[in-house]
Amino acid sequence: MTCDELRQRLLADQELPEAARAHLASCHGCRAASERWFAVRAALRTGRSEPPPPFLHARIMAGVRAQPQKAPAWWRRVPQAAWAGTAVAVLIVGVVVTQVVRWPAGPDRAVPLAEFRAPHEAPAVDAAEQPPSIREPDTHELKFSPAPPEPAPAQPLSRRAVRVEERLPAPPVGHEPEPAREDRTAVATGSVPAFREAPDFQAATEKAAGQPPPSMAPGSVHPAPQASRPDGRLERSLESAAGRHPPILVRVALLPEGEDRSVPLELEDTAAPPSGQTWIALLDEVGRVRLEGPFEDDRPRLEQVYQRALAGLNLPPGLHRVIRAQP
Amino acid sequence: MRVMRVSTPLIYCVPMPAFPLRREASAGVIDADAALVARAREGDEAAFEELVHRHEAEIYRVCRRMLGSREAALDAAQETFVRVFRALGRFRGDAAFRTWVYGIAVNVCRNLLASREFRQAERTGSLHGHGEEGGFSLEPPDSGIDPEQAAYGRELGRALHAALMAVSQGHREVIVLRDVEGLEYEEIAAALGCRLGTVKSRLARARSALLAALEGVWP
Repeated sequence: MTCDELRQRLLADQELPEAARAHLASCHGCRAASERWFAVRAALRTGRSEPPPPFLHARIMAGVRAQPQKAPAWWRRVPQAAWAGTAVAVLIVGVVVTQVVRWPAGPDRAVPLAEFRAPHEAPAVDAAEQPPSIREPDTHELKFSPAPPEPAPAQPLSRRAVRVEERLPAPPVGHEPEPAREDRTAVATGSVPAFREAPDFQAATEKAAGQPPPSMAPGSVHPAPQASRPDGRLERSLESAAGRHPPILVRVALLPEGEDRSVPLELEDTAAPPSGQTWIALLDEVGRVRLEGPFEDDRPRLEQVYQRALAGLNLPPGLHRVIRAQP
Repeated sequence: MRVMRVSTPLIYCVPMPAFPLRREASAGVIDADAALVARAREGDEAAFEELVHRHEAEIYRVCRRMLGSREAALDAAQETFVRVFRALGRFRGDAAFRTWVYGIAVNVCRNLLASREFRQAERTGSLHGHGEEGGFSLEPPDSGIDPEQAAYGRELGRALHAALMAVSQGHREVIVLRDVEGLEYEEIAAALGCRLGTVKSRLARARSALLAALEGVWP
């Protein structure tokens, strides 16, 4: 072992092997260097420094106390219960949004408001592809069930004419018709003056009846419907501005005196009903409207129920129309 | 520097103390520190003050040896504990609290040594107060020895201090932490944020540089 190797081992705090010890015993220079280093190391270790000044502690603590009290982060100040509530709320909103966005509107499901557009904005769809269903009469309730809206594919903005036909069953000739069908035919031919005789109801319906939206140009977009035929066939020709959505489904309730029947029909909300008929047309975006209680031959009761049904719709203004036939 | 040369070295310096050194961080000390740190992190000021009380002397000593100035050491010790107070919430307990504080103190000293104000004050000599020596006190505490030997001991202490201040900052750090404070290699590596092998090699070079700086003034 050389002198340099030995001194490097000494300075590196390494163990001295037997050869190094033999060299240290025989080499005067390395022994002197070793003793010198050990003396310096002992001086560094045992040499007392001057004691810290007595005010050191007070000075340190003064510096520490001068630090601004750091407020806890805002997320630490919020109680954990608030976090839990927020998480639950976010979860609920997420579920609701998922339901509304991902699921198409069905007959028993509320239609998102975003799907409703003014008729002139909606693309026309041949209503013959969606035959209307006539509900069986129900003496205790009148339900406005919308036909399931089929989402139409996106259409380019263009004007096109659509023919909508609604065929009402005609009373069989020479055969005693069923009361319901007979009444319905009578309604279709315009034998329901009862509603117009009720001033309160007329005022209410006229008040509720919406005017065409401001963006509609009367006469240019919605031509007047053709006259209904005596056999109950209602044929109308609609020319609507093509849009990206199908026409708004409306429920036409043919309400003769003492009877409630509803006929689902697709038509423009500004279309006037055939002459001599009374139509109560509601935009049926909320599913169904339930009219409760017996109201045959009880016009005031029927009016009350109807108005209550209107109020129960709880629709934003402009989303429902009441169309009444001209006398 | 004028050094009085005496033919016989001071006997009380030659006997080697047991090595490793006097201030071993025992498990009890670490546990007590951990308990105090936990309380201090919860806002217990008394616990933090106790931590300061337990470590302020050694931190001041490190700063004193690193900076060479009493005033600067006071500032550095205060700044060290202020930083400890600020960063106590981020102390993860990977190393002992004492080691962590040592690391902060070394960083504070580095920043202070690199500051323009410190270098300017060092040039003008305004760092050292009146009558401040700053050397190692090598005379025995009972001071029942020859006054001439006591004076020689003071001279050696000043020479050792001057040699320590003459080596580079990096070398001084490892010498102070290892040979003055008696930290283990692993503790030094944790405090300085470097690898164990780096500490060993740097320490060997630092000691060699210190001995070279003592040439001619140390018997």
